[in-house]
Amino acid sequence: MNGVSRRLGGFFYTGYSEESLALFRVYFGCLLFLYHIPQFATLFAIDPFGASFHYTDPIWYFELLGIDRTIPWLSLLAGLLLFASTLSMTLGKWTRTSIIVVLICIFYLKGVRDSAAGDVHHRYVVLVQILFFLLLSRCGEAATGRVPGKPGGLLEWEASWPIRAAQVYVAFFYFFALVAKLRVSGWDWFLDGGGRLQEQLIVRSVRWGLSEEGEPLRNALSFHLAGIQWLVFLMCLFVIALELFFPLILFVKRNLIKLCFVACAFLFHVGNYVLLDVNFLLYGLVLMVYFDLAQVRRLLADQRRKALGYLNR
Amino acid sequence: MYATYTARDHVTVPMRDKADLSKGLLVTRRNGEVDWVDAKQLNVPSRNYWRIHLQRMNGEGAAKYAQARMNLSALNQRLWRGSRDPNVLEPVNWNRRVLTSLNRTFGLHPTDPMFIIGAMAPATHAVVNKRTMEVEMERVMPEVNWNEDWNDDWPEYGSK
Repeated sequence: MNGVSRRLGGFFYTGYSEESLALFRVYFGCLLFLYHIPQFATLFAIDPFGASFHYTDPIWYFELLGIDRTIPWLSLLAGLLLFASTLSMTLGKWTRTSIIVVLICIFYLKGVRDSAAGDVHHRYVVLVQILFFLLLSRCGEAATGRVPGKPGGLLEWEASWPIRAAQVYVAFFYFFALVAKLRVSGWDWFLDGGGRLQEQLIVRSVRWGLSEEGEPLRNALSFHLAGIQWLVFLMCLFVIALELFFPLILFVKRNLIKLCFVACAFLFHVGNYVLLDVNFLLYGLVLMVYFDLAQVRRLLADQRRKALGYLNR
Repeated sequence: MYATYTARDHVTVPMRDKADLSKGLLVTRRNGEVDWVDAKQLNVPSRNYWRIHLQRMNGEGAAKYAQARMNLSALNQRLWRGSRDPNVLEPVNWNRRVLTSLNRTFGLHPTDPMFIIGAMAPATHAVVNKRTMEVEMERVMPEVNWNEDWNDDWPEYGSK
């Protein structure tokens, strides 16, 4: 038992410096800033003083709070607050308060977006969990360029656990996606001529309409791929392999192997975006959590120095 | 969201025809007037409106409803849903929800002559044969109508 807890402790509490956590906060903040735009842009396009739409199916926490209609100008205000608080979180100003405001704004805007027609999107699940880890951590006090061990600085365990917890969560997000497919639909999800994937390729291409020649007006590539069932099946195998084995990245030490895992996952998100029109592309950038950004920064600085040296020669 | 799948030969795809969606819903009012209600009047983003027009008007809920009501094996059922029986989950009355949304958005009461008592959502469906990839188009006009029994709990329904 002691061995297991020692290993777990070694995993969660070592490996990252104060600088790593500070850079992760900045990187994650910038990612969030970009991520919010495609998620909520449509809410800012409606008339702020127009009709107040009564929800068809309010999300559970709106139902609990008695929120049953859109207040269009409030969405705009919440959007502005969301971007402002994301920025202050990124800069490390009033970090904890900013993260709480970001979380409230995300919950509110997601509720407005999903309650109108009763649809549920899970695009913020992982990002909200990471925000929660950052909220509990001392990431706001983390700074770059401080000498390790100096008073006021973060200890290794304080800097490591939020990053490690985020890594575990992201890895198991993929794994449990596979578990969900299997427990709900069984192997039919993958078999049956490409199962759900083939169907999704058809739906996402045909839904935009067909030309007079019967060609999909958009995403024609998806429609043609759906007709090549062996290829769809290969894509299904790729999905199984990715979702089943992705948690292994937690045990990988070499950056090159980590890069292979991350590249596969990123390819998966690009494929989802291009072929299936799933608005989840920027999520792929969260995979940088598997790299020590302090190391990345040093690597980039070295390359810059070398390039400048070469130019000055 | 994408976990549910049931094997079948054909897939029916409601098409996001711009002409249909921009026209909106063809509504009938209590005083007999017939007119169109579109996304702009409802002040709802187009990304939400198409789901109301093509899915809810067709009696189709979000994927979460299908997932919650799927038949799972006994062990699977016990592990993930505990003792809850999916059969006891009440079906969602999308007809009522859509008409309630429309009327409440415009502040209409059941006794109001402008109260919307019926709506139709013209649309085109593409039916694709998954083996041959042949596509057949069909024009549909799902219709929802107000049930006067629903007047009784109007103040409470769909509102806290």
